[in-house]
Amino acid sequence: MKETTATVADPVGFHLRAAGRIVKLTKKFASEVTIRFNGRSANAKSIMGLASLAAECGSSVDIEADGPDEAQVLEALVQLIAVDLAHPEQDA
Amino acid sequence: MRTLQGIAASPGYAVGPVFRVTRRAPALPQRAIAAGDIDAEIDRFRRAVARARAEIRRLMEKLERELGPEEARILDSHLLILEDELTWDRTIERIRVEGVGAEIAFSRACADIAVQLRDTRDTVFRERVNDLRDVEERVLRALTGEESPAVAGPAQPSVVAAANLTPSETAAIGRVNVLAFVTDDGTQTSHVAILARSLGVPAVVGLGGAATGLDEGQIVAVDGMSGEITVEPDAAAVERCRVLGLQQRRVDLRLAGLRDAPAITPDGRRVALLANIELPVEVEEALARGAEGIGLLRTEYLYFQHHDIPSEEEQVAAYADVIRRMAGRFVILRTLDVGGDKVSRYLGAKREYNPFLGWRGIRFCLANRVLFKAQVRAIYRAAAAGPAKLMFPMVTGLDELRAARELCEECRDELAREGREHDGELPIGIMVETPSAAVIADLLARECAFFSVGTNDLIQYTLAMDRTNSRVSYLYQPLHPAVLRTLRGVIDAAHAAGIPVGLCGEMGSETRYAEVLLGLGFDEISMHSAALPKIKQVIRWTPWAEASELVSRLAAMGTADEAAAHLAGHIEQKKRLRHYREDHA
Repeated sequence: MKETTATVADPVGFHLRAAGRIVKLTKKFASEVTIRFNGRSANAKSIMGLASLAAECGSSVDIEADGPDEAQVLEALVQLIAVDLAHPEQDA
Repeated sequence: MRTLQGIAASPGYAVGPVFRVTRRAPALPQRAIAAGDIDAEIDRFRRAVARARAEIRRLMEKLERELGPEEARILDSHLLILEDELTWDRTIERIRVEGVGAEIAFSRACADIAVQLRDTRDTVFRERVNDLRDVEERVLRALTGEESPAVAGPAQPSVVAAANLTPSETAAIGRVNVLAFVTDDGTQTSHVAILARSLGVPAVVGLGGAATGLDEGQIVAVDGMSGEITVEPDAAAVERCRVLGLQQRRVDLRLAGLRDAPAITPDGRRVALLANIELPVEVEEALARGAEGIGLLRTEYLYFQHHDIPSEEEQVAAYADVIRRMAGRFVILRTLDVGGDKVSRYLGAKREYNPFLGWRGIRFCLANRVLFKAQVRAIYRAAAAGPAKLMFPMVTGLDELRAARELCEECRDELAREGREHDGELPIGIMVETPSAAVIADLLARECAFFSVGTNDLIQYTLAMDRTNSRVSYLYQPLHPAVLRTLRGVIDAAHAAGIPVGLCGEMGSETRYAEVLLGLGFDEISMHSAALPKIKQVIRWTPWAEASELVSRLAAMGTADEAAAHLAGHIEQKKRLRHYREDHA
């Protein structure tokens, strides 16, 4: 199991589309991924779970990954949450 | 026979049976599932989700076809909600553990998430409950075999009645067999109003609860000019509606003949008549009415419709779509103008005591650089598709203009470095809608390529009256000497600096002001497409010299009432003269 922290870069936080991007990314990996914010936790593969975290821009979230590709998924997820979310154009 | 009064949102007349669009709660059968039937029940749930998914995909294709790709994106997240563990896994768990039917199990799973979402203090997230409910109802209908009501439009020519209509619903209803739209909620600028105008069907909105109070199949007569609806009209009322419809078509036909004629006065003064639009679908109407360009492309729509920030790519696609469809005629894109009456909480704008004096327009954009840059980059890139101009709202001084221009430079340099196609020569102008911008118009004119006067705001700021406050609405006086002098000052400053100046407020759509705007010296008038032919007719009838004289007389009046009375007398006299000439021709 690996853990890390990231600061949400999206100007409006985890809105539905940002949550959707996180889900699409983490679903490419086999590991279980959990995001924790403000005492709540959510499966990073669940759009509704992430939306109900209501993490705002600039807030710091804890990410935990457990599985065969935990290092890769953490790296990709930190890049997405802390950097790419601020750039809507890189939406894929 | 009884009548209902609403807000006239799209002109035209129609008589027909009511087709109700309701968000009826789907059936929720209470059934216990025997242990041996659990796997079959889970299978039934899986098939229902598959059906719901297919339905959403079809709706997305339809949206994309009819309203463009950015509209289809609304439903993207619905697909993810369908496959979410919180809905999917929990439903299956409930069927297994609690032995309840798939309907109850799914509905409870959704209710759990809704509670969590409502708990979050942010309205943005609370609004997600609506997306969830949408998905919930779709799956429940798939389970019970009911067709989702919004998927099918009326089977026979009908008047569509609803509490309100979202873009996905109007797209789903389609345009076939729609005689008119009537809704409980809404204003002239609601999505349904704009769509109705672009489709050329009448619409009456803001009916309170009256639209949903209509019965399916009940005959109604809709008057999109006055906003009146007659329920179960008698023969005379139906006839009246038919005659009015015919008359309107005759006038439309005559004015349509002017489509390709230039807006030029008998003494040779040319004025460009442009259209104000918001949605790409409105381009067709603008062109059909003879618009020489788009004088105001509002971009808020992209941000409001999804309650989500559109990506740069999405914006490029939407803007380029409009530019391409205008086929060589120019398009002025206004950057995001939130705040004021257009509050969007998800963007971080808050309700303010004085929203019109608050965090809005360029102030908001300069404070949200990431968002602003994505839009400016998108506009630069879209402009590669054809002639376009960029315009900033709510500018009050040079510092704002310079800061915004600097950001433009930055975007342009980035795009050049990235080797992306863009228009490096994109003209940059401003909306003149604050008294301060009007007063220093000479200074601003030196640093931008054009002006567009936003009279809605300029009038309310100049006369210190809140447009949305009905107790002071009498002060909304376009002919107030302060307004006329202000407009004249702005136009003179623009012309002294050699830049064109247009107008893009409501005032431009009103026939009675057309001669005033001509006389003031506007180079361009931008308006609702529907008003274009009439305004063109006035321009083609009125010598410029005569209009200038009229304006001089109006500007010398002491009060708005005096000016209005003088203008009314002038118009009446011209009308009589024209009839006399026509009778004796």
